[in-house]
Amino acid sequence: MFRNRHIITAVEIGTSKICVLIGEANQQGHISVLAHGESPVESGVVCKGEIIDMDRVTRYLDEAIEKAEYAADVDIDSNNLYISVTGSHIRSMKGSGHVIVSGEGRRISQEHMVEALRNATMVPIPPECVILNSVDGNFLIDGLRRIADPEGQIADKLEAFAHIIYGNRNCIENFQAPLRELGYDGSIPVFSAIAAASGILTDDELKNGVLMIDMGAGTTEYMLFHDSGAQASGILAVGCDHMANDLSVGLDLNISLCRKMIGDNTTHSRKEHGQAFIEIDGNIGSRKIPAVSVEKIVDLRLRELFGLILSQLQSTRMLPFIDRGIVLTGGGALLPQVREIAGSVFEAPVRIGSPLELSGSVTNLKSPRYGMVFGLLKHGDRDRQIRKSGPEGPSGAIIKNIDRKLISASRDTMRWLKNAIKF
Amino acid sequence: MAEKRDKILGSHKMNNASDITAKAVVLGLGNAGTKIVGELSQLNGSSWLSIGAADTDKSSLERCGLQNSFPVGFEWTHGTGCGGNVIKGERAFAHPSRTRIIEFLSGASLVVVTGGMGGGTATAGCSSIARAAKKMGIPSIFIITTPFSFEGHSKRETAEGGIKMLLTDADIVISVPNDILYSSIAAHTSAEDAFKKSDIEIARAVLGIAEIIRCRNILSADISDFKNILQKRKSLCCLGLGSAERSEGENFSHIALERLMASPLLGGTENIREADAVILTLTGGPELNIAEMRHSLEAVQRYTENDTKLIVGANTDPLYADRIQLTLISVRYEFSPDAPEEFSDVADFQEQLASDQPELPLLPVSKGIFTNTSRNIFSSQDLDIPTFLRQGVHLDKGR
Repeated sequence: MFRNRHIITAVEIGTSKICVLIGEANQQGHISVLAHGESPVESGVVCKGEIIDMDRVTRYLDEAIEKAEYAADVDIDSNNLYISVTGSHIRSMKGSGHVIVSGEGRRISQEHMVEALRNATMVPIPPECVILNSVDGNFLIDGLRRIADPEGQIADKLEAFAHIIYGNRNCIENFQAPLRELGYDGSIPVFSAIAAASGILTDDELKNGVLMIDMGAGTTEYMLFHDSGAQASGILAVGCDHMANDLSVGLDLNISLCRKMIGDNTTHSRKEHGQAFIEIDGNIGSRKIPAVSVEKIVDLRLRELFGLILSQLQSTRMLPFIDRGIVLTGGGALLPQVREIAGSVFEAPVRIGSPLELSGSVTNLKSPRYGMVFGLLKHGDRDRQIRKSGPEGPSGAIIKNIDRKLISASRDTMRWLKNAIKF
Repeated sequence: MAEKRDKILGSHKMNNASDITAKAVVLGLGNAGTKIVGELSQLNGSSWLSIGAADTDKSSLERCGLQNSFPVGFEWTHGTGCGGNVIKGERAFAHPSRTRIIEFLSGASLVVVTGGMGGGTATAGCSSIARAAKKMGIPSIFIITTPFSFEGHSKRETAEGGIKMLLTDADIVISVPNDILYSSIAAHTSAEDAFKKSDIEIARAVLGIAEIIRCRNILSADISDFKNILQKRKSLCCLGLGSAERSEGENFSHIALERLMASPLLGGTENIREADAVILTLTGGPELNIAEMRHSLEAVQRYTENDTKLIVGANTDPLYADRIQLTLISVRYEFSPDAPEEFSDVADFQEQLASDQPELPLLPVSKGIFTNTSRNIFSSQDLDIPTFLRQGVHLDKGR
């Protein structure tokens, strides 16, 4: 009984919080959260998704891990330890690869698909970068038909498309460094937008097209899905901290106060109660700041942020395909005006994404703030199954039928599978 | 049918051949220039260049041991140099010496001149050669070093004067401050090594630039592309070169790329990202395969932003058998080339008057907590500066 426990740990080193989730996967493939440890991070320790003060990050991480381990009453399994990675160094590109379908009756087999996908991930990237993750896209048969699962089709040529996310090697290892310091080697880095998408998007959304925007404190990641494959992704080093900073610069306020104003929506609730001013007690007596000023600053920043994402996506020509609209998550999704602004910029319906199918003893996670880290746990569970997959293996679509021969034949395949994601 | 195809292939081959025979003349001026071309003649792949050196100092010409060495002004200096005197240098490049050099330059499709500014020979010689090349209709590129800051103000003034004179006639001037050149060398390197290394570095740069005129047989990029980019306005140029041999491993194109990025004169990958234009040339042996070529060229492209003008040239040459060489020149304009002129239209101007008077944009912009963090430039806007400041929105701060 005990041997079958699969303990998975997800770690997020964010600009506003360091969060550790410990989860356990049951046989049915559902994951229940056992414990949640969190340390708040003050301003300047992590900035725009990049670690500035390694010592303090290590200390906070230690605290968070301790809290989580104590609550869960299990030890972290360092083989199943996942860390989210973000930062402006991360870039993405589309890879394509093809195979000539040979063999009996020219039927496409799993081997063909794996081969084509592997060719698709062989892309030239700058020498100091490494491929972080690759997300399987769809397939094109004979250059004519686009299909998500081409197995069994008759074809001459199979083309595969993959969305490849790569980043600076050193920056990625920087995220793993505090974990290594604490004795957890071999943590697996995952691009945070992929994690967030695993946690908050429904299958229906993934299939019919959705744009996910994860607004964290330091960075904002976005990823566009259609046909169960990632079509575009990107990252902007702009987050809620920028709004706090804008307030601080514009209204001459202390930055920690501004962070609090952004965090608990002071202005909005004041306005609901009919108060048009916010009173601030400063060094030189109290000051009345018009709520309109605060709102204006935040609005301008949000509008600009969404506008930038829009302009990035326009070049991909994928925007008309987001039938299910926009899903916002991350701490920024809690801002009262964010839905309206996103809706007007993208001209699409907007929903706020919180962890889906959340189960387990921890109940306070049903908030967009935890969408990403919960997704990381979910993603970790899927990745764990792929990594250990034997014949009776996991549920991922392409991994579903890979037979033992293929897995054991080539370690290379395994390495490739480790970083590959299928939604 | 087959005959016809052969014919086409044959003529195609001939085209290739004619491009490869494009003649580039490299001329080193003065003491520093002579040393640089001396190193250049030792470099792999430089045998297609006609290399010459001209100096007023006899001993330096003897040391470099080049065939085409032009003692200038020996009639009256007797080979003792011109002692940093620019007037003497100008006299040295006058009639009898000049005709010999012009003879050497004739028939070239490109002249590359190198030398150290601030002395007598190179400072005066560069502008003299530039005028000669202009008259002969040969494009000229000058890669010159400027003196160390410890060499004093007067020498710097001489050098700056020389560059000013040169700019009127030369097509392209790339000046490399010695201070920058030497800052990339480890502090414990012996002085002799350091000077030799930097000579080699400049020699490699010369070789890389000369390579541009040959990039025609696969992907064309030529001197006019280069001129087009540089002539728009004053610009800052950085230059890097990386080469690798097949014997170093299967991924030798990758090794070349890594070396290119580590080139001391290039100033790091960040520099490429901020460049307005990038000129990249690749030279490989005839056996270079398409995957290797694509790998290198695409990887460089990943370093650049989308709006960067990218000019790519590729070339194969039997001289480069089992070798690959990448040359990259990144160009940054001092001002954005597409910057709209203010009040270009009268109507615009009136509109401007009608609206409220905006706040003066001269106030220093504050970035608050992001002051000392990595920069966050996105489509030429600094996203760390509050949006309302950038858009000029006025706010009521309350009281």
